[in-house]
Amino acid sequence: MKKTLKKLQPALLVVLLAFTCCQQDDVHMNDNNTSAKGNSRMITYEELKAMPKAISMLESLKEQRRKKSVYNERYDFTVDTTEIFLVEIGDYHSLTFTISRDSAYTDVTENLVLNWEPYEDYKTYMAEYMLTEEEKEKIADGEYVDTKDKERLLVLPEFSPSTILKSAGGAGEDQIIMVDGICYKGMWVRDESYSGIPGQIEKSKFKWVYLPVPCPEGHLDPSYTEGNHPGGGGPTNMPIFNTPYPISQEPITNMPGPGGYNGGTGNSGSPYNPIYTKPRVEIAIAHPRECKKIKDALDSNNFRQEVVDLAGKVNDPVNEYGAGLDRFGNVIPFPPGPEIQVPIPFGTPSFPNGYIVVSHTHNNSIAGTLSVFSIYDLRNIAQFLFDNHINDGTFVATLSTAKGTHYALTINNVTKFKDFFFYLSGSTNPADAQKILISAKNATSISKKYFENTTGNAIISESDTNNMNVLRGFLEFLNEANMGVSLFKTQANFQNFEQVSLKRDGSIQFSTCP
Amino acid sequence: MQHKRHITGILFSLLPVFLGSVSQAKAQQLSVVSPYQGTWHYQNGNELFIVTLWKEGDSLLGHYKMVTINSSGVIISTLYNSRKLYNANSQIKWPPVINTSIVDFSASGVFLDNTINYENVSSLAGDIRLDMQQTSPLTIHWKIKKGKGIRLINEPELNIPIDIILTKVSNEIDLE
Repeated sequence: MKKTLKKLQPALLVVLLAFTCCQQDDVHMNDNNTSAKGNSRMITYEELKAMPKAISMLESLKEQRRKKSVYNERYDFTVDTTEIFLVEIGDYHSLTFTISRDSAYTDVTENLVLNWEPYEDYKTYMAEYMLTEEEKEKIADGEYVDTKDKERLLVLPEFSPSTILKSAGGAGEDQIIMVDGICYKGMWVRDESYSGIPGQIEKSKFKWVYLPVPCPEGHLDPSYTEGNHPGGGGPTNMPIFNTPYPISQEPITNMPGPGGYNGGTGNSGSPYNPIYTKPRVEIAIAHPRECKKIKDALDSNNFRQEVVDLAGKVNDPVNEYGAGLDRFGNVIPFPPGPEIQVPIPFGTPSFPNGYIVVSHTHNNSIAGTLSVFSIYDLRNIAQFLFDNHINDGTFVATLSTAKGTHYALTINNVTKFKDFFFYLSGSTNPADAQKILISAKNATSISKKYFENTTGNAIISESDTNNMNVLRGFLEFLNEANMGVSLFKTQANFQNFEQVSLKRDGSIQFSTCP
Repeated sequence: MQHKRHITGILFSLLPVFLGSVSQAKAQQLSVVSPYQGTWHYQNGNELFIVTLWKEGDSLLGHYKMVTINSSGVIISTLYNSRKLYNANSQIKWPPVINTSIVDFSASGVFLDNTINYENVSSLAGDIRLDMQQTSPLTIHWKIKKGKGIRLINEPELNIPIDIILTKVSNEIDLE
């Protein structure tokens, strides 16, 4: 991350914040003219914390994100709060954050922009850029990329009814509001009561809540309502807070204007204030040593072709397929079967041998296909390791599945990997007794939590058709197990690899191997 | 003083509430004994499969053994016992080989079969499910499945029973 910051710094010094020369008067997404009036720099989360309203806005988004992550994957995105791009001009400022999504949205580079509206609050926008991979790398390296015709700024409405209801808390007690077609009325309800205790004076706590109520007659008549939030004109009878998502695909020039602040009184077509931002991309870096292991292993004796061939056999309804590469470069095909049985590689004490690569498929079984490695794949790899059947420093496991997933797995920390499965070690050292007990209990508990599927509700399940869900669960498992394993996502040609890991907020990070 | 009397009055008035809470808590503790906890049997001819289950935190843990019995039900010999020494030179015994969680009337989790002996493989592993069946006598449906994954060639199949009905014979836990 620091490397990325260093790379970005030169670019940030030349940031483009001009009041003039824009395709639109109020939106400046990537101007190439430096404004003498403005000041822009990267800030850290520590500095961000000095902006309580910005933190409050982010907390609101994070809360929504957690809910979405659980209930609706479509809304899932991650706001990176470790490095923020700050623009300050007079009493106005904006904050630009990188955003990442786990799912298919990511053809577009998205940034979250919080734009300070003096005397009001932050308004939230989504800046979108259609960038090629080359352009992303240039931006990450601090070079200017012309994003004209590749950029747009969208209003990011508040999209959680609960948040909107919270923000509407100042409405009068008799005020009925509508959120996503449901009418709510604010009222005080008894939160805690002590009145049931004899002799105790009646004492209750009340809290203000919005509860669903029948919509008033005539509420569908536009003249009855005041329009969408924010903004909108007309008579104020019942505010409507619609929460469309995906967010409106209309550019900001076509969005309902805020009315008022910028001189407009209705749908002015302008944002509240000028918005200054610039594209920010985050290119994570994969672990070079583990990436090299994969490349070297697959390059050895053209083993990549073996793995590609296996990827073409995943649709077999009965059999899994597999192959191994030993340390002498011998390719060893594994006999196909409902489960892959790995032969012990030939070796002698003078010429110890072990697998460098063990590759297999998860076939299109009627019982379902697990789109990631199973706990028993890992357990048996550990057993091979304890029995010296794999070459620990260079070992790579690959997997192709009938669900279209392709992975490579490396052991980045052999000690951790062995510790997790230590109960398989067969150690006769009395000093290892406690370690064996702890390992068995820990491994069985974590296996139970993530993989046990007699009820069909496992976190990592064959029946889950959402590969990203399964991957996220698998990464959570790897994190909790702390077993020193790195996972890489790839395609059927096994040419390019992205390390996959979990960010602190639970979203998936993809880091490209160099 | 008036004020003090008032507080005392309140305290006395609250006493039944506190006492009620305490007696309620005790009653709950007494009723929390899991029906899974105890010793379970499955007999096939002169072989008796004995499973011992106990609760530890939120988990239901267990061990099993297979013994032979005579016509009077007296144990003649032990064929295997999952709670054996970890290995011949070891000072310690195997940790629980059954690790499940109870949801309603079903306990599910993972098990180890440490009764096999192949190469250096000391155990096989898989999923286990114990469904409560009938209450008089108390029975559970023991069903296990070997975990699916790559494995060493010619690895043996499970040695312990796969699909049986166990009958509860005691609430006591005897691990010997």
